[in-house]
Amino acid sequence: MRKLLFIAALFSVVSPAQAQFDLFGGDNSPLYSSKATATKDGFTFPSTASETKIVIIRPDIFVGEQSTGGIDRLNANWTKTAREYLAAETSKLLISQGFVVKNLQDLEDGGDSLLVEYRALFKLVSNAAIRNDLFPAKGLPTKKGKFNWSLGKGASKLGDLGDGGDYGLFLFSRDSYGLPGRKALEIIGLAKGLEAKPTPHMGYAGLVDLKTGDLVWLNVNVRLGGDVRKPDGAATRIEKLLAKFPKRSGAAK
Amino acid sequence: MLKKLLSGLLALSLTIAPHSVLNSSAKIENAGAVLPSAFGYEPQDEDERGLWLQMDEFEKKLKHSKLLVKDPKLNAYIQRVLCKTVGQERCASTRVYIMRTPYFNASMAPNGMMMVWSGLLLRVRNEAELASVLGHEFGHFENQHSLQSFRDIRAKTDAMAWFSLVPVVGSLAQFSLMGSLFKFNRQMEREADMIALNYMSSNGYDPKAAATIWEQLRGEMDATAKGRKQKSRKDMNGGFFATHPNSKERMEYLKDAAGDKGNAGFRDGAAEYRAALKKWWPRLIDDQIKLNDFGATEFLLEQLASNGWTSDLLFARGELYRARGRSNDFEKAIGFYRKAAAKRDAAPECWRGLGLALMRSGAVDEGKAALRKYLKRKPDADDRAMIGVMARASK
Repeated sequence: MRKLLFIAALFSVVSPAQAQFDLFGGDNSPLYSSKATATKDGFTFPSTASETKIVIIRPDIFVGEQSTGGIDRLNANWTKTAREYLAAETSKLLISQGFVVKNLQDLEDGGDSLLVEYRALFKLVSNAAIRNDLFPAKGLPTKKGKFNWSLGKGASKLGDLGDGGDYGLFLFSRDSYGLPGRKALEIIGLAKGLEAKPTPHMGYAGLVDLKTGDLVWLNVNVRLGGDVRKPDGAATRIEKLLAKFPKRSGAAK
Repeated sequence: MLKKLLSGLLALSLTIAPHSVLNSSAKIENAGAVLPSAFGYEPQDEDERGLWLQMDEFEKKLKHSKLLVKDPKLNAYIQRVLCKTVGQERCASTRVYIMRTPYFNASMAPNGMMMVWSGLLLRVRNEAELASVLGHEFGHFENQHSLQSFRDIRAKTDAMAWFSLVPVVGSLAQFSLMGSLFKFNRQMEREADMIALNYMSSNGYDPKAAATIWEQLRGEMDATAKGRKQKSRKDMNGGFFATHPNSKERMEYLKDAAGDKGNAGFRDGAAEYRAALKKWWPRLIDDQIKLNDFGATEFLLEQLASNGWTSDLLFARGELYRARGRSNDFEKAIGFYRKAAAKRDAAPECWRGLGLALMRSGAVDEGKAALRKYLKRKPDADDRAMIGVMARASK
């Protein structure tokens, strides 16, 4: 009996019937139409009188194609070019808002341990913030009504890596474009009244104060527009990801 | 009607998924004429480039992992054994990473990144056994098993997605496809086993060593079960859903195949292996003891001591009994520590263990004296402050 249950459980995990279509309504729930932003209480950039330098950490990017069965294949060319486009568009946008920008994205040999460790730490902390704060259905009791996440003071070392950066900007984006078979399945499924899970186009961006390590701003969007495979699309994507980016006090609009 | 719909869907899924989705005994073949082990090999198509880029990104992070064993001598030794097994030119296409993880495992990524867990190094007893694992992993790499597996999964899940639209019959078809996914994986494991055997015998390593590893692992599973009063898991591996052949089956076909290779002056390199691992054994055994698996650890120590109990092994046995701490365990531990300390190459830690076990068994003064001996022999010990307090404290 236990074995049968095990097989049934495994089957339900692997079987694309559940994976592809929202049969039970449960697992696709609200996240799929959600976007959210949070800013640390009372946060503002220093006045425009002084220079504010933002270090753009090498973006975490996945661009791929989705098969009929929902398997994502990373496309190496798209991923590499999207990373360049997104970093360039981010620089452009921040410079237009009066910031000084430094790109920290040379990681060919793995780069500095510090950068690898802080990228991993940011991912962990920002994901906890997203789960518990931005989509607070499962909020932590001790974090209610507060947005006070931090990578710790050690993050100042990242500022040194970026030649005296004041803030670190982390970007994550994941896109998958449906192959013809996937699209066909979606259409035929729809005709039967089954709605297929949308292919992912989601991302988040977070800003860390490199003096305190505090996460001062976080924006998540799980239905992002903009085709990251093209420069124009990447620009649209960055506009959406940084839509509610804190403004500098007194900065020209 | 249903049948008609089903066959229609089947035809559709076959046109959309070009691979032989329903052929459950899909042939394993090399995708290209050039093997990934060739000098300067570059991934050949979009699938392979995608997998490589993902693994390259992973490898960049891995290089900074805290679990990485960085000892250049040990790394050079493992790389040397791999090169001796598969040949100098081929081995240049792979990078081996030793991970401080106390279980038996090794893995291979499509871009040539191999991971070997430290628990494997503790269990393997000679170079030939190590060569059989390294050769097996190399076989996965050379025959592009990750790539084939990725394509197999994609093709079969594509078909499964179409079947999900068909009630009942679709589920049965999905079920059989799923079984074939696992079967394909088992076939690749078997193929990698055979590749390893060929490399071993053509480069002088005793191919019989491939089967002895499985024999030992089965013995260890029995020992774990006995220690925990459970049923041994040695013959359980999931059946229909098994990703690897059953260990008994594996041991037997490896034994048969090795028999066919004859007996032409093969070596097992046991002495070289022991010498290369000497510095690491105490740490590896310490990791194993901390798993709290008394039966398996005792079994492993006995296996390692098949040529006699060295000071390191006696010390480890003392640590094992002291850690369990049941009645009589401290007395037994004291005996092992004393024997270990009496050997010429005894590590200072023998006196620490002896002192702590004596104190636990009530012989406080004698225990303190042993702790002082430890500190005298190792003045720069990491735990000097703590042990110092214990050695001085009055009741």
